[in-house]
Amino acid sequence: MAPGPRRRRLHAAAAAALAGVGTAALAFPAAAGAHAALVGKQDLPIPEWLFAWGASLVLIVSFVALSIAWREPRFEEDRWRAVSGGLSAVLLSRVTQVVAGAFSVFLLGVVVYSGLKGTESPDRNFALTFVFSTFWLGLVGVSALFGDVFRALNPWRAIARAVAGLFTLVARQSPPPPLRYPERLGRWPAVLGIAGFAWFELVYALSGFQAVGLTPHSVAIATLVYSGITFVGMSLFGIDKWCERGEAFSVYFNMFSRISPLEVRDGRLGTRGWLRGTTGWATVPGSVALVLLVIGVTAFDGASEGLLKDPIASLSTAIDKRGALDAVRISNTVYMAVAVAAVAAVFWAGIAGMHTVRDRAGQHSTRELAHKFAHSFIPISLAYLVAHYFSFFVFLEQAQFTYLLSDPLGDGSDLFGTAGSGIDYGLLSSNLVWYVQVGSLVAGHVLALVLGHDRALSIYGDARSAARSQYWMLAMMVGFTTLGLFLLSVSNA
Amino acid sequence: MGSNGTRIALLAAAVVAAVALFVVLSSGGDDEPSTTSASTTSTTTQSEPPKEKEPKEKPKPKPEPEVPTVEVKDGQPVGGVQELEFEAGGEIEFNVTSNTDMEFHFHGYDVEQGVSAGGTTTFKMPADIEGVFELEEHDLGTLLAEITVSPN
Repeated sequence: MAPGPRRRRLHAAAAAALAGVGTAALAFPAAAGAHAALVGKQDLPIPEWLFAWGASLVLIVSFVALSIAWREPRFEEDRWRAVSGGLSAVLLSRVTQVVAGAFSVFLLGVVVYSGLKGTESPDRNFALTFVFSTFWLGLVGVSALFGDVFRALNPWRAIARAVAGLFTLVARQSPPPPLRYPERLGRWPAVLGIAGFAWFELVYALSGFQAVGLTPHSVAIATLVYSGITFVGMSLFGIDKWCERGEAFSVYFNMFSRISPLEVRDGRLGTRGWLRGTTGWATVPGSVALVLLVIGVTAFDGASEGLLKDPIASLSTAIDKRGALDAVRISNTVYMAVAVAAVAAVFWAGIAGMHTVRDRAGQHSTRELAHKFAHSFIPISLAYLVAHYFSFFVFLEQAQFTYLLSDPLGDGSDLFGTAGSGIDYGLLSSNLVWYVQVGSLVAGHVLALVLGHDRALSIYGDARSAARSQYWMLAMMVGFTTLGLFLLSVSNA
Repeated sequence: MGSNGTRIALLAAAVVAAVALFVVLSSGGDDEPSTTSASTTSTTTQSEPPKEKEPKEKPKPKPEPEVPTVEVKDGQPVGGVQELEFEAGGEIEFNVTSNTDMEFHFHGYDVEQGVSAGGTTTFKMPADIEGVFELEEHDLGTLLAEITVSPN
């Protein structure tokens, strides 16, 4: 290509866009929920020197990536290949499925039982730590590494399949065929479910000035309500269809499992390249919303402790002078919505910018482009989760596998002799936490760039237009990553 | 993308951006260490302005660090939630007074101490865990103070 005035203009435009997004990120507001009730320690904010290094690294990496970019798409084909028989047969055998299903139903039962019958002290009850840490965060990591294990460990799916099997056995006919799932709905029911979970965890569960919003009891009730909704969905639209589209946690963990090199296809375990599973993910309505929602609520959680702390407090006192818990919740709901909307706005601005670059096969609409590129934000959403919850997870899992395992109800029992142990808060030094935070954000950024560039090559055909379209992506991603770093650097100010 | 010229331009842009960013940010952040190191003795009545460097060091001719006190009246911290800072490797030491009988829980370090009406209790221990920790009233969980232990 000919370097010339035109290219220089592009560089200037890209630089301007970067600056714009950077500023937007700094104006972003911040909040914390169930977390404070469970962990007795908060991380120190990232020091300024490390923030500077992290942000510089992001910019350097971005420009280097552009300069060495490849010319042919490399990730579009997932090259899935079945692994040899034995392992696959054992892992996917009926026995394994039944055992895994039974185990997951058992855990669901423990959550509900300990929530209803156990102590009301949040950090001493199995239910809270299990739901908000082991399940909600742990399975994200496991899915990203080992694939969609939640399919085997989904208690609702296991129960529904058992019921369907029993029905067939007793009635000597298969259950009536489900309704046709309206494809226009896509993953939207799951998006609502995840939004509801996040609201429950980060807003409803808030420790107010005097009151603790979240009790193990309310977690148990919420679990039962969600189970009911799930069974209705499954019986209307079929077990597997509902797991693919409507069951919030299946859809959520499946999104992260696309990063993993392992996938079960047609009843056989196979391997594919890392990240290649993501490329076909965002074709369904609601996918863009899901990945942006994850980034938005995580940003809100980080920001509510620092950047957004004062705005949230002043809005809640404006609603109610005495700062009643309901006022605090309303205020947090508003700001959570603002955070998600802000993330979505940045995303759509970037997509709209990309839309100005003419592609080979006529013009894609912005909506099409959004779906074409949404998958490249999966690594960023994962990076946000790791950066924000890494230390929280490490501390809570110590509790999970010591005293909560031996004394799930908090009533003084000691099933495995570990009830006396607790959380060693000295396990992670501040420096280690900081490096993990910055490292994960930078890594997520790089992977997002890789996926974005690869998709651009396949849409725009020639490397030059692809690169031009990617200035917009780059601006957007630098914005998200810098925002992530920034939120970590100002928390609990 | 194509020519070597473009590559070099982009790499140069990367370096320039990095240097510029670093210079801008590090000039703002230079004095961070002095802020943290001066912390142990800071009085606890106001949340201090975080980034002022100069004013921090001058008004401190007091020779011996006085032990900060969190004053609790009718179950609420006087002057709002107090912010105390200590350095890892040193000592944590602060007093809590209350005009009513109270139990306190210092999270993370997991220490519980009580006080009877009008009395004072002193929390004193090696600062061996870094982070931000809450001091709460034991039963209602009212937040009384946030104790920051930063790496030295």
